[in-house]
Amino acid sequence: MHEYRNTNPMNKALAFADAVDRVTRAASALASALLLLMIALVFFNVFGRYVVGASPVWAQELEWHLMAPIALLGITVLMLEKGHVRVDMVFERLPERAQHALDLFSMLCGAVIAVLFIKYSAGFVDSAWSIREGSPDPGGLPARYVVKAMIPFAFGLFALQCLANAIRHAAALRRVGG
Amino acid sequence: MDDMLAIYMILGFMCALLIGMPVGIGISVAGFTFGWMGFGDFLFNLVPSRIYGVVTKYEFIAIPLFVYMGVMLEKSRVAEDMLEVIGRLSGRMNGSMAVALIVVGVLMGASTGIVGATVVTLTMLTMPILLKRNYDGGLAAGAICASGTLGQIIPPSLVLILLADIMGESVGTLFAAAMMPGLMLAGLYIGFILVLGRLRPDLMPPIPEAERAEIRGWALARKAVYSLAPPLLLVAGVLGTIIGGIAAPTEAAGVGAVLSIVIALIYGRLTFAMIWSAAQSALRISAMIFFILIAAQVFSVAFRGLNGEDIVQDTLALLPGGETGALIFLMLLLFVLGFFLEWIEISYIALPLLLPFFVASGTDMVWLAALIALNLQTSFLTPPFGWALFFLKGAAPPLVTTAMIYRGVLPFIAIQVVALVMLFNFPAIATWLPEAIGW
Repeated sequence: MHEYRNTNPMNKALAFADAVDRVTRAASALASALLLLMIALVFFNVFGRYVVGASPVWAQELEWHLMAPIALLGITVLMLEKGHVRVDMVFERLPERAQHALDLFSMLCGAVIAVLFIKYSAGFVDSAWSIREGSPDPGGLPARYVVKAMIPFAFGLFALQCLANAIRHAAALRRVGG
Repeated sequence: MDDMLAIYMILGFMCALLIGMPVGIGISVAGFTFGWMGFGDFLFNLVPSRIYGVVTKYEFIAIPLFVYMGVMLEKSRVAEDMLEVIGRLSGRMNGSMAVALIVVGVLMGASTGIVGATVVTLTMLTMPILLKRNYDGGLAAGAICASGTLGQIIPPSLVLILLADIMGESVGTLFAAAMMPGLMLAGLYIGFILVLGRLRPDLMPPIPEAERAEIRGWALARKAVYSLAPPLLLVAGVLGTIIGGIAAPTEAAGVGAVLSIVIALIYGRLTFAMIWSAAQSALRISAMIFFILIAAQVFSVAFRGLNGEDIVQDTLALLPGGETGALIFLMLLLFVLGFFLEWIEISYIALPLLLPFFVASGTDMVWLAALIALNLQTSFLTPPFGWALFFLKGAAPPLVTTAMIYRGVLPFIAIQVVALVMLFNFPAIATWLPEAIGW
């Protein structure tokens, strides 16, 4: 049985999909924690601005430094939890096989798009990374290039999650197809 | 053939959506495919910096914060108690909860200025309890989408601030111009609910007599104060500081999120698990909005690269009917563009191309701005591509089907059309107030 699991390519692929799901769940926990941190930070800055009279530049910049990973990791979590939106007027009337086939196609498209985003962001990230771009404002945060590098990183994860979903739909397609 | 690619791209996107591709994936696929056919790939190097712009935009930080506030008020059942008490206070009247929802929705939309955040938060707050109280899902969906999008054009709205910049009018003038049409629409929505409540009471039943009898008089009054005061203070405080110009929407949203936790604590319902699961829900729902905002960048880069703007301009030049013809064309065009582009893009890309024509024909810019705002709002809630509908679907319980939502918004779209026609024929609805107060 064990032998069989390791040699059957579909089982291998499903094991890969499970591994990706685990990574995305970790990313989900991280992004949720960052979201709570961001709420606290925005509150802190409001307190600083209206009660103390000023809030530090770095704390204001940190708000959107947190927003970027939250939004970018969030869309991968969205794929894992199938929380994305679609027009399902036609979709929900399709037979199950067709639904899986369509989802398989959509997820492969998603993976391709993510790879394209990574490809096109090479120059954008490179120019920020090569000069170690930071905040132009005094008192600002030093590592703006890291925020920019989040884009290809997050879409890498997005591509993996789309592939994992595609594998599950392919497996379901074989099952339903008999 | 080549110059029609922008049009084919729009059709391609429509097909992808209709067969049920996820919206974010479908819009990117259409953008990349037709972009390559038209101009190769050099322009797509612009996409990452636009994505970076979306995920770091200060105003957009308000999205997860407002969503968190909404999720928290929903999870701690504060919102539920609030609508419940309004239902009890209204006695036998049908539709009172829907009216309450419209008032809150308009206030909220006006202050946040973000379609997605408003519609999602409203849905989280009101949809579960309305369904529990046997309201028709479609009616609830329609009321949420209509009031959530109406907020976009009621001052102080971001839409109007941008329009003022583009059209060279003062912000105050446009605020005054949008006030009457906006309030007129809100009144029409409420009137519609009340009339429908008479004709079809089954769609929005009052709380049953037996249940209302359980709690009456002073006990009810105490309960009303107890359940209404904290959330109303929260909403009034958050919205008041934004409308009063004291705090930016993002700041107010941050305070609102923290206060929603405090309110749950006051009611003794707060748990750590609740704080955490609200964060996870807020993450998923915000990501739904961000996914579309991010993916739409591909489409809008491709639309510009394929000279979609030139096509628009050429069409305009060929148009018969002078000013009126051009106005009608503009209205139709904005309506269709509203399906695919965020209003920011429409305002900055499409409008500047068309404006010179109207300036030359002496069109009243204040009136035009009001028409444009009203029109954009309508297109956000028109099936099958209205953004508000996607956002509602993503946040509503699964038993609310797409067909139900479409059916529910139809009467509200009819109201929009009536309002547009009225404004078109009686420009004074928009121009009267700015003149009267001298702005």
